Formats: sequence, C-alpha cells, structure tokens
Amino acid sequence: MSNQFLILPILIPLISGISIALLPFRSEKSRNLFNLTAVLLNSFVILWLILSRPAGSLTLLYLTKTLPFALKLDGLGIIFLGLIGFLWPVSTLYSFEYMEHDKNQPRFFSFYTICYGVTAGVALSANPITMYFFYELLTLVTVPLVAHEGDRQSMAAVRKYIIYSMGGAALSLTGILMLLSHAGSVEFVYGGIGQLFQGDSFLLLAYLLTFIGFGVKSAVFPLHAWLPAAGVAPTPVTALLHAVAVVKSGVFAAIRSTYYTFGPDLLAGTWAQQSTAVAAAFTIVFGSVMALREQHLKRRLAYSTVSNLSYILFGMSLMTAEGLVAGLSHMLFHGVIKITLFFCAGTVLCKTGRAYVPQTTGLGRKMPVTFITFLISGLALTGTPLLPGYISKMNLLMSAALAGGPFAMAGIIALLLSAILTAAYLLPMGIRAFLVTPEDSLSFTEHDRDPGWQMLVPFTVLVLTMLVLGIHAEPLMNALESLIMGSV
Amino acid sequence: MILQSTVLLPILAFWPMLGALIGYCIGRRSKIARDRFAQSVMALELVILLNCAFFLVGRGFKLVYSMPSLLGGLSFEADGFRILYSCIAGFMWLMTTLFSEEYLGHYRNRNRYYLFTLLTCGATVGVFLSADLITTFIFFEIMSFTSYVMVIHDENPFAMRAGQTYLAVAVLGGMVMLMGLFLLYTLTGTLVISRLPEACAALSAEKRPTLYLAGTLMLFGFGAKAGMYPLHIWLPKAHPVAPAPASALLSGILTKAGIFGVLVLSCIIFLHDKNWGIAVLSLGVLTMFTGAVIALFSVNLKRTLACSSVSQIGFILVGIGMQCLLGEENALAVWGTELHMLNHSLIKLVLFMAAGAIYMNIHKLDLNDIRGFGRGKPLLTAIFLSGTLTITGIPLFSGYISKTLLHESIVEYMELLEEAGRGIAVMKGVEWIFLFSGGLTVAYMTKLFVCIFLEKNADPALQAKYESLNGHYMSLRSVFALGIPALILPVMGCFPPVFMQRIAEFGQSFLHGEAPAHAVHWFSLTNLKGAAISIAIGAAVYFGFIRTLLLKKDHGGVLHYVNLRPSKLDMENAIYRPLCALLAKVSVAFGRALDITGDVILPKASVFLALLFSHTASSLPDWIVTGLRKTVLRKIPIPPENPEDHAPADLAVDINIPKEMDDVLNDFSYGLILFGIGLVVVIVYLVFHSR
Repeated sequence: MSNQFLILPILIPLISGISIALLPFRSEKSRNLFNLTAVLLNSFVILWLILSRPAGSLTLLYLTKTLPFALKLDGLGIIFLGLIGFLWPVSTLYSFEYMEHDKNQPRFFSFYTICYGVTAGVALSANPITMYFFYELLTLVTVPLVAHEGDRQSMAAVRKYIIYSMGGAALSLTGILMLLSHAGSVEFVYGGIGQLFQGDSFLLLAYLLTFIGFGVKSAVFPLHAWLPAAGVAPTPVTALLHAVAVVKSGVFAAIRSTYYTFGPDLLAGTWAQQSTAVAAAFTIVFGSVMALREQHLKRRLAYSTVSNLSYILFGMSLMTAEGLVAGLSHMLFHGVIKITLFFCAGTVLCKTGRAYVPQTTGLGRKMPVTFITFLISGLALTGTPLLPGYISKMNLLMSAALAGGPFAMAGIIALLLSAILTAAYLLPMGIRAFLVTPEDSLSFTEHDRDPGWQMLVPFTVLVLTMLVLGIHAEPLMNALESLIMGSV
Repeated sequence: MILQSTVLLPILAFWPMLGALIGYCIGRRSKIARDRFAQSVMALELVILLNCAFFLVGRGFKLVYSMPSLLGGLSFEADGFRILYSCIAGFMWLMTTLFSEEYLGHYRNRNRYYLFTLLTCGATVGVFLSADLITTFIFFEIMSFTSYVMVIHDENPFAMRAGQTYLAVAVLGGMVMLMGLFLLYTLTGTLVISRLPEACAALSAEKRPTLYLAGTLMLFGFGAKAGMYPLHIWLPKAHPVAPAPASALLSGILTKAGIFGVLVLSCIIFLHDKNWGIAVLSLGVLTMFTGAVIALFSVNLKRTLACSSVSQIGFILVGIGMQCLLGEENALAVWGTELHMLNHSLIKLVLFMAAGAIYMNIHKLDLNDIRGFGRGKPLLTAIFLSGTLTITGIPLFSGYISKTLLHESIVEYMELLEEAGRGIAVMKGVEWIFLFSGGLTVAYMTKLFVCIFLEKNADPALQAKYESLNGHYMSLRSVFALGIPALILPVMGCFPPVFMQRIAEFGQSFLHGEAPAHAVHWFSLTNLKGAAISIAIGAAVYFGFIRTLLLKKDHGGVLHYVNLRPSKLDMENAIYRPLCALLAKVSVAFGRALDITGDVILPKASVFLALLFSHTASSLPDWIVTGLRKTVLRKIPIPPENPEDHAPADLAVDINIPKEMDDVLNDFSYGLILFGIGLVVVIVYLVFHSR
C-alpha cells in the first residue's frame, strides 16, 4: 500500500481538533459525539496502519537538500503509537464526565484532540529533526491544557513547564545539530551510526546533550520539577499527557536517540552510558521517596511517574536489546497502570473534592469500584504477580542481571528499594480507604459515590487490560522483541 | 527417578484459586452453598494430592510441568518432600475449612474470608511445588498479599496494626529476597532448583563471599516469613488477631513456606556448607530460646501458641543447621527436620482450632477469663491434651520422635567432633539450650492446660456458665475437624517405623538426606533420657517459676495470672518502628533538599549564568574599546609650549558639544551605528547603481 496514509494520524486529530473549537455545535452532547468519533476513527486508522505496516518513508518536504522532513512507521513507532491509540479514546471518554461542569470545554477538547495528532507525529517521525519539530510542538499545544484553570497556581505551573521544556529542547537541538554536522543526515535505524563512529567523544558529548534535553520531558532528576507542578491541570490532562503522552514522548525520544541514532555500539561502556544509568537509578529512588512524603494525591502520583519513567530509562541505559525490551514493556504497562491511578484520583477529586491522601480514609466503602480499581492498579505498580507491573519489573531486573557490572547492580538495588517504597506510598491508602473508619471531620455526603458510566467504562477496560497483560504477557513480549529489531 | 510431565501440578496450584473465585460468586447468593462448595474444593484438592503422592511419586516418578508463557514462565516439580508438604497443606486447609463453618457462623465478611483463604491455599501449594526460584517468588508474594486479608479479618485496631507490621515485613522481605535471587542469578546463571547444587558447587572460591551475600539476602526474605529471630516480631501479633482457623494456617503452614525456602538455601545452595550451618544453627538457637521465653510470660492463649510457633520454628532451624554441619552423616538431622515440620503443622492445627473452639463460645482469650472453661469437657480436653503431649515431646506421641531425632543429631555431631579431636563445649551449650527450651515448652503448655482444664475460674458465676455449655459447645463437623488431626498424632507416635520413618524416607531426597548408618532405636534408654531431662526442667520451671512468680494473689485473695513482661521489651516498638521512621525522615529530608536544589537553585543558576554570559558578551566590545582607548588610542595631551602661540579666538571653530554626548560619541555602539548607516548608504548606492 501507499505510504501516503502515514500523514492521516496527524491530520485527523488536527482537523477535528480545530473543528471542535470553531464549529457551532448544537449541544455539548453532539460535540462530545463528534469528538469521540474523531478520536476513535484516528485510533482505527492507527490500528489499520499497524496491521498493514506501510514500508518506506513519506517525505513531506526538504529542509535542506539532505535534510528531509519525513514520516515512517517502524517497530518502535508502532509500540508508542499503539499505546497512545489505545489510551486516547479511553481517556477522552473519561474526560467528558470529568469536564462536564467546565466553562471552557471547546478550548479544552480542541487542544486535547490536537495533542493526539502531535504525539502521533512524534511516534511517526523518520529522523531527529522531524521528531524535534513534533516534540517542540507538543510542548506548545499542551500549554493551554496545563493553564486551563487560569488561576495563579496554574500560571506558575505553566511558566515552569515552558521554561523547563524549552530549555531542554534547546539542549537536545544542540545535540542533534552537533550530530548532523558530524555525521551528515541521519535516519532512524536500529543500531544507529554507532558502528561507524566508535569511541568518538564529540558524539558522546552530543549524545549527553540530547539525553539531558529529552531528560526534561522524561523527568530525570534534577529536571523533574515541572511534572509535579503541572499536576494542577485537569485530571484528564495529568493522566493522559503527564503520565503517558508527553512524558513518554520524552522517553521515546531518548530511546530514539540512544538506540536508533547514536546506537548502543557507540555508547556501551562509555561515560555517557554510565552517567545515564546513574541518573536513572538515582531518580528511581528519589521519585519514590518524594512520593512517600507527598500528601497531595495527584502530586504523589506525579512523583511516582518521575520514578517510573526512570525505570524505563534505566532499562534503556543498559544498552542491550533485552534492556530495551524490558524498558519498553514498562513503558506500556506503566502507561496503562498510571493512567488508571490518575483516573481514580481524578474521580475522587471531581466527585468529592478531596485532593489529599488522609481525606480518602474510609471512602472505599462509599466508592467501591473506584477504590478497588485504585487498589488493583496500586498492586500492579508495586509489582505483584498476576498484574503487569510484575512482568516488566522482572524483565528489567533480569536484563540488568544479564548485563552485569556495578551500574546494573546499583540499578537492581534501586529498583527493589523503589518497589518497597511504591508499596509504602500506594497500598496503605488503598487499604485505609476500605478498612479504617474515618474521623468525624471527614464525614461523607450523598455526593460521595461511584461515578457514571463514562468513567466506569474506562475503569473496566483498563483493569481488564491489566489482568490480561499481567497473566498472559508472553505474546506481547515476543512482539516487542521482534518489533524493535526490525526496521520494516 | 522417572520424569513424568503432568498438568496436574499447575492444576493443584490454580484449582483452589479458581474455586475461590467461583465460591465468591456462589457466596453472594447462598452462604451454605458457598461453605459446602469451599469444603468440596479442598476435598478434591486433597484427593488429587494424595493421588499424586501414592500413585505417582510413591512409585518412583518425579513430576514436572512448565508453563513458559504464563507470568513470564512458571515451572512446577513434585518430588517426595514437595508432594508431602502439599498434602499437609491440603489436609490443613480441608480441616480448617470444615471448622470455619461453625467458627465464622456469626462473622461479617465471610465471603471475603473464603475468597482469600482459598487463594492463599493455591499460592502455598504453588510455593511447595515450584521448580525454580522465580516461581517460588511469585507464589510467595501472592501468598503474602492474600494472607494479609486473613490477618486483618476482624478489622479492629489490633488487627490493623498487626496487619500493617505483617505487610511491611512481607514486602520488605520479598524485595530483599528478590535482590538475593538476582545476585544468585548473576553468579550461577540459573534459578532452577534442581540445577543449583552443581552450579553453586562449581563456583570458584573468590565468588563464594558473593554467594554468601546472596544467601543472606534470601534468608532474610524466607526467614521473615518463617518467623526467624530477629524477624519474628510480626508473628506473635499477627497470628493471634486472625480468626482461629486462619491462625492455624498462618502458624502451621505459611511459616513452613518460609522454611521451604530456608531448606532450598541450606540443603541445595549451601549443601553441607559448615559456615552456613553455623549461621543457621545460631539463628535457630536464638529463635528457639526467645520464642519459648516470651511464650512463658504470655497470658493470652493464642499469643502463647504463636510464641510457641516461633520457638518450634527455632527447633526446625536447629535441625537444618545440624544437617549442614553433619555433611554426609546428616540422616538424623534431615529426618528430624522433616518430621518436626510435619508435627508442628499438625500440632498447631489442633491447638489453634481448640483455642478457636473456646473463643467461638465465650469470645475471650485472656487466661484469667477462660480459666476453667475446659472442665467437664472430655472431648476438648483430649484434643488439647494430644496437642500438648505432642509439642512437649512425650513418648508415644509423634513430637517425641522428631525432637529425639534432632537431639540425637546434636549428640552425633559432638561425637564426630570428639573423633576429630576438637572442642565440644559450644555444642554442649547448644544441646543444653535445646533441652532447656524443650523444658520451657513443657512449662508453658502445662500452664495453659492446668489453667483451662484443671483450675476453676475466679468468678463462680462464670464457671457455672462455662459448665452449662458442656456437651453442646461444638458441632459434630467441628469435632471431626479437630478430632482427626488430634488422633493422628498419637497414632503416628506409637508406631514410628510404620509412619514416621516411612514419611521421613519419602521426603529425604529433596534435603539430600543420606540413609542412617544404623537403624534407629526409637524408644531406647538414651533417647528417653533426653525427653526425661526436658520434662524435669519443665516441671522445675512450672512449679518454681510459674506457680510462684507468674501467679499473684489479688485483693480478694484469688490467684491471678499476671503479665510480667515489660511492654518496653517489644522489639518492634523499641527498635524497628523508630528505625523505619528515622530512615524515612532522613531520606525524605535528603530528597526534599535535593528537590529544592533542583527546582530553585538550578533555574536560578542557569538564568544567572545566561545573564552573566550575555552581559559579558554584549559589553565585551565596550571593554575592548575602553581598553584600546586607555592604551593604544590614548589621547596624549600636548602641553602648550607658548601661551602666545594660541590661535586668535575668532579663528577657532567652536564646536559646542554637550558633555553628555561625549560619552555617546566615544562609545563603540555609536561607531557601529555609523557603520550601519554607512552600510545602508552603500547598499542603496549599489542597488541604484546597478540599474
């Protein structure tokens, strides 16, 4: 088939997003229907593209004679595209109920949908410059979403978000330009240019700049501060963008630059690899400790995201195929788990107005579905067998054990410490919600009950996905393994 | 040994789990149907297990099964020991499920209890049947989480706090164990249990310390579950607060899942390793003694039994340590370990369910409250007595057999040491602590028995009420559930060669046990002497300590059991909780400091650096100009040579430039502007000229 269709996953959300803002919809219901249809259509297009696997790339224009602006769909892209294609319709449905009393709904849903296209663009980019373009664009289109509330707090958060993201993007652009000046035009291929330039310290510096740049969106310490601050955004934004799309774009870009641009052959065993491994291992523990301290539920989950993103980066920093597969499995599973956790937190916030962890004591009896979902996803994130977090963490540990060496060992210790901390910051809350009778000051009202179907359907879909992935992950793991190697 | 692949093994692990889910659905409609269903699930499980034991493993087959696609790869294996212990698990679950029906009759959340109890059953059988350590770990973790719900079933503050400790120890232990597993994996490249002996033996000497580290980490995890000192803190709290059938399971079989791991470590990874043996022996001695002492002071029936569990686990650990030390001559130690595990499971099944029979009638467990409850209840007396006589090691009960074997293994090791011409003082000490702990067991069990079954309650009205219950305090089904295990103990104890020896031989290959050099004379005089010493010590402690110091007269002159144990001695509250709180505080403070550094100082520093750079860059040309003007372009003032040489005033061109403009004219940027204007002029000229 023709690879012209690669542009569709970017264009459909873009056009429908603009239409949501401009078209005069008769009612909220019809706009929601249009929105959901567009998002579902796009997900089906993505599914169709993944199944038919168009070969070759689609060059849209040439920036210079040797620098094309091009799209292509390879294995890694399929993994990321599949993740967002699955989660976007689910969270769009969730956000209908969450945002139902909001005044600026057209603006919100317009940008929410446009983000889908831009994230798909990151996944579909064929070379570093194209990816940089979409990556930078993603920052810009998410700004109105983070600032949605419009109060002082969200303005401060947005300022932080822009400063961090732009600063990071500038660094990664520097790195990419250094690479291009040194190695000429580069397209994403597994293994990258590593074989040709082994031991080139100029490229190592370029890689480190790129990593730090992309490290902003993937919230590596000390560049993580924007993520907990951005928790002031409406929950669908925090859930989808700051647990999946935006942060995973950062991780995705880091993986692209590590395995598909610079290449593990260049990086393995160098100081560049070691510094990424140390940064990741440190962030894993750091994020968990901060999550343990934080009492604001959404910010606690944000710190947990900080920690879990570094799980993926740690897998990546092993510079082995097993490490990459393990990291990618955690990228998928964490996406599903964390979006569920955020949905639960958002439901509690929007139905009962409770934002802090101690306030949820005893609430489980009033909102059983929400809190059982929370407990299951909490167990999944901790790494309990039968749930997906166990599989990916085990993969990470196994690949680290296979890679060996002091840095891998440090990572193993960091992972296990963080697992203990994860249990400590998620499970007591889930247990207390059911088993502890709250004090009188936390008395309940008749609003404290489970949400409507638009929120319950996402819960059910996500929990079922978790159970299936947790019990029978073998086909998925095999698929991941074969996908990352093949360049289509 | 013929390998036989059979799907029965995963079915054994997953059938109770499936039954749990189906039972939950049934329980929403009908309680009685759910109870019957749970009982039949466990009965079927036991039937399949016995079938495997007699017709497959008993005939020399070794059962294996692997499921590479499930949960990242599960593999199962059943040899004698594994299937034996799975059978015990199945038996215990069947008996407790039968008893639960009456015990939980008026409880809330029964459906949840059955769900998690059956899930725990599947996980526990999975631990015993696992063929590689990853599978062990998976089922171990499932077991920890599902049994948590059993612990907190009552949902009162005590249960919640005990549950918190239990969960914390379980999660911590699990993760530390996993760390050890990965360290082991990096060393040996395999986690398949049957391949580990060769892989570990083949390790070079310089890798041995790392192997010890891996072993210690794993021992932390398994030992925490088994209740090994100093990780036993959760056990005396968690076991008593659970419903009695659950206490029996927690004490009787879940601790054995931890022991299973210690066996894998001691009999497979560190096979015949003396250093490891000394470590396990020391921990075992500490556990054995500490548990017995705290049991002596306890005034709560179930708490005494839980502390007793700690002590008995210590006896088992001593056996495990001895079989490491004895090397090739480990027959007695291996048999003793195996049989004491078996005995302890059955004893705790009997005793905890007997405690449950008391609790379900009067809802009290304090010794002063339940005093005299057993008077005039011959059946309950017989059942409790059977458990008591077994755990104290009285001849003709099975506990005597296992304790004698353990004692004999210590004696045998001392003989070996003497032959080699080495000192035996330490081992003599171990032997005496062993006998003394046995004596303490006699003392605290006598205390319980005398209190409940012989003495009268201080309150005559209460005593009359207790005696009015005689004859109808337990349903027939519960009598069956308590009576069968209570009957097994003396039957096994009376005919050791028929039952005990066969069972021991059935399971010994897993522990790498060798056949004993000579036949064991079960009731010989030397063996009876050990039991007699323990009983004598026990009698001395009971009359000399308990009756004099732990029984005090209150104002009315009535004797009361008093709790002399200072509450400050609680290791959990004195050490572990403050330590955890301190660690959390320090790490949080450290993290907070880093967070502030990252969030405040980093942006400020980068903005400052950027400003500094741009400021420097922008003022650099100015500096150059200033520098040039001060050096090369310095205006040299020409001193007037002659005042008369001055030009006439009317000739002088007076350009009146204001003082402020001076700075502008001297500025580099002014030059640049002029240059720019010049450039524009040139371009304009060129454009028009080229026309």
